[in-house]
Amino acid sequence: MILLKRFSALLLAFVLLASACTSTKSGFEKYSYEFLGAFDTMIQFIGYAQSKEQFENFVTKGRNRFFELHKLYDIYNSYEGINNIKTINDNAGIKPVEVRQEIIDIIVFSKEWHKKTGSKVNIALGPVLAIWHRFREEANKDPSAARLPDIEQLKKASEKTDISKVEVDEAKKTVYLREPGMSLDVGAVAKGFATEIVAKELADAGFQSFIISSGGNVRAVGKPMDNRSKWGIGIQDPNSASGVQDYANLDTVFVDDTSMVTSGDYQRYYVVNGQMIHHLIDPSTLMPANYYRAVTIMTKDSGVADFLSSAAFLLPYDKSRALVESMEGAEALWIMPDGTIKATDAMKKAMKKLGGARNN
Amino acid sequence: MFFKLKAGDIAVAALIIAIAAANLAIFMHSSEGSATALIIKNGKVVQKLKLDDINKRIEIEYKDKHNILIAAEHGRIRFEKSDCPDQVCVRTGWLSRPGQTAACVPGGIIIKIQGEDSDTDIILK
Amino acid sequence: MKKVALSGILVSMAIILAYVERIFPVGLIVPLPGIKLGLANIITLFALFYMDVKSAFTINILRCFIASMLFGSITSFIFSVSGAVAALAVMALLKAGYGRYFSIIGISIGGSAAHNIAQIFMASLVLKSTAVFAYLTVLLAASLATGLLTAAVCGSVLAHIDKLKL
Repeated sequence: MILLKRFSALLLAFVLLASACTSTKSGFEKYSYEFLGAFDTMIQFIGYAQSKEQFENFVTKGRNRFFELHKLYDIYNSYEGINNIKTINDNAGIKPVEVRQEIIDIIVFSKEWHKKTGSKVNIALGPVLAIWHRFREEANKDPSAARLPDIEQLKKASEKTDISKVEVDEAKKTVYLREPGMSLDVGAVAKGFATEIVAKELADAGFQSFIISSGGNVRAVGKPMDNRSKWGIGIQDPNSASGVQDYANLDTVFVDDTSMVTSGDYQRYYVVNGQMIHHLIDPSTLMPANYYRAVTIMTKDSGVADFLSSAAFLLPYDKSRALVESMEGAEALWIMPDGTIKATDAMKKAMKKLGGARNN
Repeated sequence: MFFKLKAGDIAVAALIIAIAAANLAIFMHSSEGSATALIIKNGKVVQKLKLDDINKRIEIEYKDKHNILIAAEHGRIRFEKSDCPDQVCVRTGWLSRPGQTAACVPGGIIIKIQGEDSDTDIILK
Repeated sequence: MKKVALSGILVSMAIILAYVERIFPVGLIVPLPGIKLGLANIITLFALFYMDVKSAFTINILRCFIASMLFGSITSFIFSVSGAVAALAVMALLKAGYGRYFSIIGISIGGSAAHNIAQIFMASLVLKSTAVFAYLTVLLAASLATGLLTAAVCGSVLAHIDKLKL
């Protein structure tokens, strides 16, 4: 009996010790922060940290980096003392511009992936996209003035979009657009590319469990520091984004340590004669592509995911699916114009309504 | 002799059923009644609205870089009108569930529903 | 010394029950890792009737500790200890009125319900969320069933022992 008593006392000590251990392990709290002003979108950080100060340290670092990258990849504004993409555009046909490594990296990346993904996503499409941008902004200011750009005007602009005339000298760190009138527009890749840079730097700095969301780009690092083993990413239903209905999620996808990027027709658009004219332009027709409402790509690197989602959106379904399936580690979800959903196998497995679970 | 049912047994079972029912009632009530919307301007919360306490439609106007009208009704809130050039805010539609957000980037305003969804960390849009 | 031997046997039986419990897919209804139906309550109830509160307590703690070491985690240990202690406390209390106010059935379902309430309380503390209470109603309904089962098993074993005059 004495033995039993001693043993139970020992066990009690164990219990106390065990509960002390759990409280430090679950000493992580979930925080969130959102800000505007970089990449023309809202950027959100959601993460687990041991204190609010720790979270704020990481987030401030990330936010500053986003602002810095925004300036580098900006095509509309110049900044004192910085050569950015606009500087390159302003010097088209004039001279090579010396730029920072982040700009060299994104251009080399975009040229390489242009070739790999069926030549649909072209960062040299600037002259064409600038016309569409102007028409969209005018229409949203005054819907009665909404109209389509003249096709001849678009064709003329498209003569200055040869990506092979974008010259990068990696040794001298210069970029040169060989013809006057050429211009770069990194809109299809910049947010994802920047998000990947920030995510990597924060992970290296010791942030283990967080999500960065930057307008259609979600980068999840690690796992949530609670009892779940996966993050839950909601996929928006394009039909709920009309501004009339309550907005709703199509489904939730359970993932860890990956990126998800959506290219959709339902946010940046204007309306001409009842037709939605969105911002994802097919370089071969110079018009918006209408194969899908949205395409979501899941793959580890956020820059790749962003680029692939644009490419997959601009290709018809059989080619789009073949492209995704040829990329190792990439999964996709297509929302067709009639609302039907197609998805690759591993994507289906991660989706809640199709039986994906957050603990496995 | 062990199984001879006594009055207390019925009382215990009744108590358990009562606790179960009360828990269900409390949970159903609280899960629909706690959405709080935050309006965030230049990084600061400028308005807090308990959406379920709203019985009459509320309109809030911001005149700064752009003229923006936010409308709130019982249980939901949205950017109703904006004269900004991209209109993404208006197109986001009504927000009602915890974790949902909408932003007017040119106008510098974010609407966010406070709280946590049980299994969705973020919405990809 | 006989008591120690019996305790040992009961602990090992409880661990087997903990293992059996893993086969029940509770996770399908209540997706919280570590939540148990509480079949090991059979042992607690038996110990309470055949031995005493102290022995029942010791057996409880021991079996939770060993079962978690074998096929659980720290979280499941905390869940099972809190569940087991709460169940024992309620059953010991109800047993004071045994024969007069309660039969083994009332004592058993009371313990089973206490087990589940305690687990949900711990889960809400560990997860820092009250959302887990959504599952309490389902678990309480289940506790009526497991309570009856526990009473049936335990009661017939005790009846047999009585007959054998052990």
